[in-house]
Amino acid sequence: MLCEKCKIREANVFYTEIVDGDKKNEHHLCSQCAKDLDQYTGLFDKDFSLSKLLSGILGDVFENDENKDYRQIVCPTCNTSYDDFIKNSMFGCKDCFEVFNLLINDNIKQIHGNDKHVGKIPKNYHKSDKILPKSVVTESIEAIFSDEDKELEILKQKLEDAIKIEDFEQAAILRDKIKTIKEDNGDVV
Amino acid sequence: MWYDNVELSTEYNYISSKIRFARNFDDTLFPNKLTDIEAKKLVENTLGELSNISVDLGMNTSSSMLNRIPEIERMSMCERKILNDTLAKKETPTGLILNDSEDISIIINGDDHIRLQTMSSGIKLYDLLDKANKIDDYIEEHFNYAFNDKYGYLTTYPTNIGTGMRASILLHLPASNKNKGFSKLIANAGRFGVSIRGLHGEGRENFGTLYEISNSKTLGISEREIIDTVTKVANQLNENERKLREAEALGEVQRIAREDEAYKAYGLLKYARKFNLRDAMNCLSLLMKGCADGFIQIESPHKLYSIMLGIQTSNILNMAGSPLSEDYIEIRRAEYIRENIGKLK
Repeated sequence: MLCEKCKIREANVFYTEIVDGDKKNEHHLCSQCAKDLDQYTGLFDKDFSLSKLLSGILGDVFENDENKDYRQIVCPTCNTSYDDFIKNSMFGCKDCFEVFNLLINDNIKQIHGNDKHVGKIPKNYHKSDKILPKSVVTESIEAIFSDEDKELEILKQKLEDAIKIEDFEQAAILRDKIKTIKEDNGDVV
Repeated sequence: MWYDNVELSTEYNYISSKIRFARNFDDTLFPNKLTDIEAKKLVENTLGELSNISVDLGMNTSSSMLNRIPEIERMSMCERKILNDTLAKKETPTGLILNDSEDISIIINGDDHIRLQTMSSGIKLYDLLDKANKIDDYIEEHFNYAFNDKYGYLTTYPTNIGTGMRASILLHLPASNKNKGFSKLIANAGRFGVSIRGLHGEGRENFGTLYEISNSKTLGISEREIIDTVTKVANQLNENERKLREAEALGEVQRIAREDEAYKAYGLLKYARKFNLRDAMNCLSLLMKGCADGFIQIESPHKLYSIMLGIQTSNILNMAGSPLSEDYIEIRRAEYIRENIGKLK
C-alpha cells in the first residue's frame, strides 16, 4: 500500500484516529511522512500548544525511556505518577506538589521565572495543618532511592538525560548544582 | 449587561477588563482525578454551600449545572468570555453561578474546583480585584483552599500556581494593527511578562482588531504587581494607538478619508443583507474607530461592542434555536446588525 500523503513510498505506519472515543479515520503513511505527522496534526489541534509546550518544558519529550526511576514516583494521595504529570501537565491533588517538589522545582522556575509565592494568603491557612506528613512524601521517593541522597540522585539522572540529548547548557547547570551539593555535604569532589 | 455600555475615544481604547482566580479545595482531589459521581457530589455540595451567595453579597446570581446547558448556548457564553473553550465542551458535572449582568461568574469543577471571574467595561482591574477578593473570601468562609507557602494557591495546571490569577485587558487597536512592527511587538510581549493575542481572526488576519493583554506569570509576583504589569503594557499600547490615530487625522484629505471610511462601514452595516464574520467585524471595527475619533455620530456608539459579541456564529445559531446553513448564518448576522446598529445622529 502506498503512503496516503506522499503517494510515492510504501506505507509502513498505520494508525487510527479516535475522536472522543469514536473510531474515526484509518491512516497509512510511510515513516518519513509519519515523522512530520506530529507537526501536521498540531496545526489542527487547538489543545496542541499548551499541553505539548508544557510537556516540553516539564519533561523531556524526546526521551521515550519511561522506565526512568524518577518517572515512576507516584503521589500516594491521588496516584498521579511523575510520568503522568509530564504527559498531561496536570497535578492531581495538593499533595502532588510536595511529592514532586524536587523534580518540578527547576521547571516551575523556567515557567514563572520564580519559585516562591508572594501575594494573597488564604485567611484560614495555618502552616502547620497543611503540610503533608513528611513520611508520606519521603516514603514514596525512598521506595525508589533507598541509600543515596535523594536530590543528588535525581539531579544525576537529569544530568545523564541532558547529556544524552546533547543539551549541554542544561547539563552544565546540573553539573554545577551537583558539585555545590556535594561540597555542602563535605564530599571531596 | 456589562457589555452594553462600552465607551471609547481616541484617548481611551480599553474595551474591557477581566480578573480570573483559579482555586482548589484542600480536602478533595483535583477535577481531573474525580469520577463523575464524585464530581457531581462536589458540584452539588458546593452549590448548596454557596446557595446564599446572592443574598449575602447582594449580586443577583443564579446557579445551574453547566453540563446540562446545550452546547451551542455554552459556545455562545464562550464568545461572551464567561467560559473558555474547554468548559464550553465539558461533559462531566460542572456548576455555574452567574449574575444577571454576566460580569461575575463562578465555575465549579472546571479545570480547577473554583474558577472565579469578574469582568467590566473599560480599564478597571483594581475594582475587579476587590470584587473578586470579596467573593473569594466569602467562598473561603465555606471551604478551605489548597495552598502552600512555596507554590501559593495550588492549581491543576502549573501555569496557574501562585496567585492563581489571570488579569486581562481588551483593547481596540485598529491603527496599531495596520502597523508593520505590531506583529513583532506581539511576539515579543513575553519579555514584559505579558502575552498579547488577537481575539478573532484566521491565520495572520485579525477580524475587528481586538487584542487581549494578560499576565503570563502567576508565581512570585503579587496580584497588584500583576495588575500593574498588565496595565502598563495596556497603557503603552493605548498611547501608541492614540498617536497613530491622531496622525491619521492630520490634513483635510486624510480627515475626509477617515470620514469616508466610517460612513462606508456604517452604510454596509445598515443595509447589507448578508455578512460573513470577517467583513462584519471589520466594518464594526471601522465604525467603532470613526465614532471614537468623532468622524461619525451614531445614536449608541457604546453598543457597538455588544453587536460584535452578538454576531459571533454560536450566538447567531443559539438565537435561531435550530441548525442553520452557512448562507443563513450570514443572512441572520446581517439582520441582527440592521436591528441593532441604530440611527445616525
